[in-house]
Amino acid sequence: MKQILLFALLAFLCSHGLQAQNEKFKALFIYNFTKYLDWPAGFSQGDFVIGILGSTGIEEELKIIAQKKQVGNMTIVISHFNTPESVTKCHLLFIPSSKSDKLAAITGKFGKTASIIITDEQGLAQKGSDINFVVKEGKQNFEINKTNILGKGLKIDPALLNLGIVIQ
Amino acid sequence: MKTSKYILLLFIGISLFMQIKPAFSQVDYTKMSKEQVLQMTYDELLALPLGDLMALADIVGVSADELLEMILNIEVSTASKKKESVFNSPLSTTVIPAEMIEQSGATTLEEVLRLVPGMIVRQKTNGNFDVHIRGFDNVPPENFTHFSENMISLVMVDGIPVYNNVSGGTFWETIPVSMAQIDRVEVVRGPSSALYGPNAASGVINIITKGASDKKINLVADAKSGNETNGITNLYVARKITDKFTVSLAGKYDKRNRFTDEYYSFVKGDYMKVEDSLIGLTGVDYYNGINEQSLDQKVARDLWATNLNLLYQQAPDIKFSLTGTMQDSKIQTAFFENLATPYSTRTSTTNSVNFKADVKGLSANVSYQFGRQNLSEGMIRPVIEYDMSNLMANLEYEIVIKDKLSIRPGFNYQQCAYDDSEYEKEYRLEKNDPGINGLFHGKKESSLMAGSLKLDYAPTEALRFIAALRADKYEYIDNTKPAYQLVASYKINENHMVRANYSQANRGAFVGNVHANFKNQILINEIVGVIPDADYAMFKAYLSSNSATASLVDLLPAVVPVRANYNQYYIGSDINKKDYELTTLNTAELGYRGKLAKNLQIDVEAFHTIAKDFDALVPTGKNMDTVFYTLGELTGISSLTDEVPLPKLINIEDTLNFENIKIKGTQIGVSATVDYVASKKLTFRFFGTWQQTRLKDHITIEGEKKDIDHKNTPTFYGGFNILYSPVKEFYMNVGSYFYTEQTYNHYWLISQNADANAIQKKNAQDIIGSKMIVNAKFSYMFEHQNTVYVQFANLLFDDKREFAFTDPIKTTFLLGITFRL
Repeated sequence: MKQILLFALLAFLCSHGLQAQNEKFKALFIYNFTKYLDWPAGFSQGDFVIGILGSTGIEEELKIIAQKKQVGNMTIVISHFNTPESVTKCHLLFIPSSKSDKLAAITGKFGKTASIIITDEQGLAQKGSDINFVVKEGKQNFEINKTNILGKGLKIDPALLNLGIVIQ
Repeated sequence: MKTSKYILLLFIGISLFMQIKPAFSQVDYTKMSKEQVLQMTYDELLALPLGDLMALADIVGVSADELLEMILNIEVSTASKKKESVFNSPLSTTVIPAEMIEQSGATTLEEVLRLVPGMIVRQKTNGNFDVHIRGFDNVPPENFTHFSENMISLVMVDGIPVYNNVSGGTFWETIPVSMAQIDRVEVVRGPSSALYGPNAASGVINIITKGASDKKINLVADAKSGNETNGITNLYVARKITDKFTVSLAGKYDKRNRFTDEYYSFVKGDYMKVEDSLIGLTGVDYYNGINEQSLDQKVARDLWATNLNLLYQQAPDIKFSLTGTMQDSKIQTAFFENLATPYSTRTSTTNSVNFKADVKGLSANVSYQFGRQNLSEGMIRPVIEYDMSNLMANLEYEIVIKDKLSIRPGFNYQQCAYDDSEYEKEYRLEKNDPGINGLFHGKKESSLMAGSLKLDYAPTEALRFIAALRADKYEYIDNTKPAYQLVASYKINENHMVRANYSQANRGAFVGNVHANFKNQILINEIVGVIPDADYAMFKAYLSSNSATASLVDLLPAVVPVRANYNQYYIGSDINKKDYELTTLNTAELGYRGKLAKNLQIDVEAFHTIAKDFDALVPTGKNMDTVFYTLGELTGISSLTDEVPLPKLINIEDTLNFENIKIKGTQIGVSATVDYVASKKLTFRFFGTWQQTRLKDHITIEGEKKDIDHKNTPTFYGGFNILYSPVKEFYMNVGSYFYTEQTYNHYWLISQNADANAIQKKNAQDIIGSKMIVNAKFSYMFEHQNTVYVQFANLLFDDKREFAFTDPIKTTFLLGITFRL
């Protein structure tokens, strides 16, 4: 037991936990996705809405970006939703991993409308998500469901497909 | 002036360009330090294209809390039959992902379970283990060795049960899964029969294999060898033929030696060479002549297995899978004992075909397993070699109502057949002995039909209730056996979750329980000894003292043999099967899971279990009568018919009844797991379980009824795992598994001398001392993802045996290489 406690103590002492930079980078990734995607008419006027389902640190990061950047001529608006029922029209909807179980409800709700669903859990690109953050070999990456996105009437810059992992 | 102004502007412009250029245009972002990246402003980052941002994200690395999510809170599907993060699992759940399995150096599935809290895993012989979830092992104590096997946990491969239908235990060596194809191992502690069916009484172990991959070709080939290990190889290759169709092939080979060539002898009470240890009580020869060929003394395990899977995934929620498996295995361990030794060599050649379909909410699978098994190779009596088949079909449908309520009705059917008639015939011919019986004595079948219903209701984001009910109707038992599970979980916030669970679950009724009935003719008029010198001398003196008989002394033989008939009757529950009660566990459990810091997670569970209706082979009587010599038989004068007090033939009829034991077990305990991600390079896991088990109304060998502490299960057991990876090419993993002292009680017949009259019952104890097993693995990635490694087991050089009357477990090292595509 003493050895175990010693190990535990050692572990705490040598702790230098990394700050959660990943939220910042994910927010930057999300903003960057807008540069590689072309929404159909009907989604190219008014505000550019990025929806967030549930609570996540990414929301604060996106709000900072929204103050600094636009998508084309559109102002970026961050909308927060608590439940799938309350979700309204968005250009992008981010579902954090804590809400992954709501993906089916969202895909059902959006159907073929041009709202891009971004998730953050292994395997969700195969379950209807359009873009899914994954960690591959210790590196932050994203899966992109090309068929889904094209089916929603968006155009994808091939450069985005080269950067991500394409799921057909 | 104008010209000079333009020249000045041009100069400033060039200067600015020169300054700006290194900052934004030609920076090689892959060469920036982490500190430099962290100092970049939002504006600078927003100016970068996505590709450069990805490079910077790599430099910053995955954060500690994200690592925690990656390492710990991966997806689990066993706990509530719904895919979810382990953190949200409403049951006491642990998932060991493939990476952790590889890093730990585990060479068998059982060793993987040494990374899981609540698991008692003891090595019997090299590579062969006894595995229990939370204990209740060897209840009631003083039972036969094979009753100490875990028959109250459900082991599955991709949701399909793999228990043997003889006793409900798991023959781990027959699981046809390669270590290279495992995606993760999920363990749910606590009764879960309502969700998974019979035997999930103390918990469920679900081995999940790799499914479809993004890669065109996914290859893992691993080979290792070391001391007392001829070779262990594991292979997995998957080829994505089209976007929807994947073919995968996996295989394994594993050959290891025992750490000793001695066997424990029940008669001598010690470890002996084969010629001394395999002679049973009263001299019975179980092995067709005791010699070095009787058993392959050195082999601990020698096996191979392969499986082929065809996976067609039409859509995320529509997939079909067809798997064929084959395996051939031989292991030597303490399992099917006889009156000589607890060791036996188990051989199995089995195959299976499994079909699974998931279409929207519908989930169906049909599995057919078949093959041959011998529970004690080389042993003649009784015949425990048989052909077997097992058909299982399962159908479930999930209906989701408004995203809050899911209803999952299910139907399950199982039918198994065991047939030893051919083997019985073969052994009778070989030994020219029509009295040899098989365990089943013909073809025996058993079936089970079950219905289940699971309700999963989440009225709010934080609150969740699960209620599950299952009813099993066994062919040979009157009553329908109910199992139920009531679960509630409340997620206080993203970082804290509490759970409560009350459940009842039972083990199944297996063929060995309901059908095994046989007479085992161990001795047929065989010489088991001679009249002891002292007795014979006294008899001669008696004859000499009488003038009428004094002359007969010269006619007496020098030695007088004593013969014996020894019949052992195994009375299974065919006789009283209708009353047969299945071992049932009721557990109340409270749990808490919390992310106490970004990089620190804790999982604690407290449990209280009441277990009843165990079963055992109870020695219900030993009838013995003795036929004495006549004076004529000793002297050759047939007219002298008077009996003399010298035993000629001893008839022993020993009866073992398979019976329910009205013993009640009560267990309380606490398990805790602490995961700490110190950094991306250094992670820790500590876990431990404290438990206490009381047995009420235990009847001792002496026939005394009393309440006792059940000491077969260690009071404290657990482990730790430390992974250090200073650079991505290298890692060092140090893991430990430890347990406190245990006392194993065993009953057997023992003779103090060679005289069969002196046979008596004895409770023999083996105290297994506490042990800390430390393992380490050092791995170096030399190219692409290919690695070479060296790993050590039992680094503290503690050779103590880990299970009663089995082998000492020595230190081993393995050198290995892994190739990946």
